[in-house]
Amino acid sequence: MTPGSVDEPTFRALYERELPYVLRTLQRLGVPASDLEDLAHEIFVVVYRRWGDYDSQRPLRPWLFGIALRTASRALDRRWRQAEVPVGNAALEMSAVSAGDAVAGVQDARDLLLRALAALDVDHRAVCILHDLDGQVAPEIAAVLEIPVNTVYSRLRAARQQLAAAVRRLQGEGK
Amino acid sequence: MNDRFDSPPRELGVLFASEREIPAVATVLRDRIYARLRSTLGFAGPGGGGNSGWTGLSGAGIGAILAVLLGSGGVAFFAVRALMESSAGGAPFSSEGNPTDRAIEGRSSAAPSLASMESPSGPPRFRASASVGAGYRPAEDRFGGSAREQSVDAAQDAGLESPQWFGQRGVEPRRIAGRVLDSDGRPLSRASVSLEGILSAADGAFEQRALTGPDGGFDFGLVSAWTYVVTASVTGRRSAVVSIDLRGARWRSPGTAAALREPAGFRQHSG
Repeated sequence: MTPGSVDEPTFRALYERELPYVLRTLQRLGVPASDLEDLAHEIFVVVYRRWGDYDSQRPLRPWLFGIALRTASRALDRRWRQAEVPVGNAALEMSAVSAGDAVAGVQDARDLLLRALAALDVDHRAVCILHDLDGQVAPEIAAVLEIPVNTVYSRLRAARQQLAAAVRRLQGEGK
Repeated sequence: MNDRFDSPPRELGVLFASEREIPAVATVLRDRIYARLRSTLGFAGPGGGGNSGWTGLSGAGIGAILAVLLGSGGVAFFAVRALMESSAGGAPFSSEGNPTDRAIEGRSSAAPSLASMESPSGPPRFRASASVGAGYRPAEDRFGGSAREQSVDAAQDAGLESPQWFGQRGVEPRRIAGRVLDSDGRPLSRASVSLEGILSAADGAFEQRALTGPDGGFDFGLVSAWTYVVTASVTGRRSAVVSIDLRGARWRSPGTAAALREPAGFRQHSG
């Protein structure tokens, strides 16, 4: 579908199916909770306008991730307050209030992981998210990020090492 | 993950497992973003608001929107008054006299934000005021008419920066409290009031519920500086809904009924 040909029901169905993924991806990429709504809107505008670029033979989410990555990178670059902790703190805190003890452990784990991901540069973070959280394979990741497959492998190994170190550091700070 | 990577270290594997699930998005947020998309992309015709009844908030975007859903002609309706004040205090909310202005004037430095809807008897007329403090001027507007839904919003000020406390950790929480009144201004006791945190959606919807007391009052206590929807309902009446944004820096909606202006010297105050 192109901007001129896509019908709204089709676009809306895609939007409703993929909005949760887009919001989650933005959080993982370090977008502050205050910017999630604006950036999700921006991403789906791009999706609509660039639908003709999407290869329907390939999985959709890596393509969405590429748009989200570029959108988030621009947004983070222009944020005037660089020192802000790039985790959806408010959302996580509010969820923790309502979730109860049984869910609190999961929330804590998510919070810890998002904080640790923030310690990675965006290149390593992107590979880690795509592979370890989204379950994409290396060739697909390479295509989305426009890097060689071997670079995907090397970045993932480095990302995991950095991530594990960040987790240990954060856990140490919490004691 | 069927290529030649090793498995991640166990400690990471546990964390990854906790994060892989993609939670559902709250209907309010989903519909609000889609309403903006319809406007941006120029979709014509009905169908933008989903099934939640929030179509009228089309184009709301981030920022504060004050809305009240009215009963059709002659049907009783009631209003929600919601007060957000910083934990540092400020003038207590009162339904007497002209509380909106007084509250705004009473707190100029602690980033207060106040939203109020009044629904006097007779033809529906509204008054909405808001202040986000932290150096922002109060915004106020009056409007009336017979529309079933009105919204007040604000301001697409180019270059308006987020205040320092914008959705950040360490920002003082604000209090959400208020009263539920009927169309004659009488308090409604045992009304069901819900507080929904819209942007908790990525981690599941956040919601608190309360019943109003004999004076129609409810109090959700201090909450994070974020966007919320307060809904009051009583059996046999239409619900009243107020959407409020405790971040409050940039308001916008189709109505452009109110505007917040960044005053000179704001950045000096905000550091």
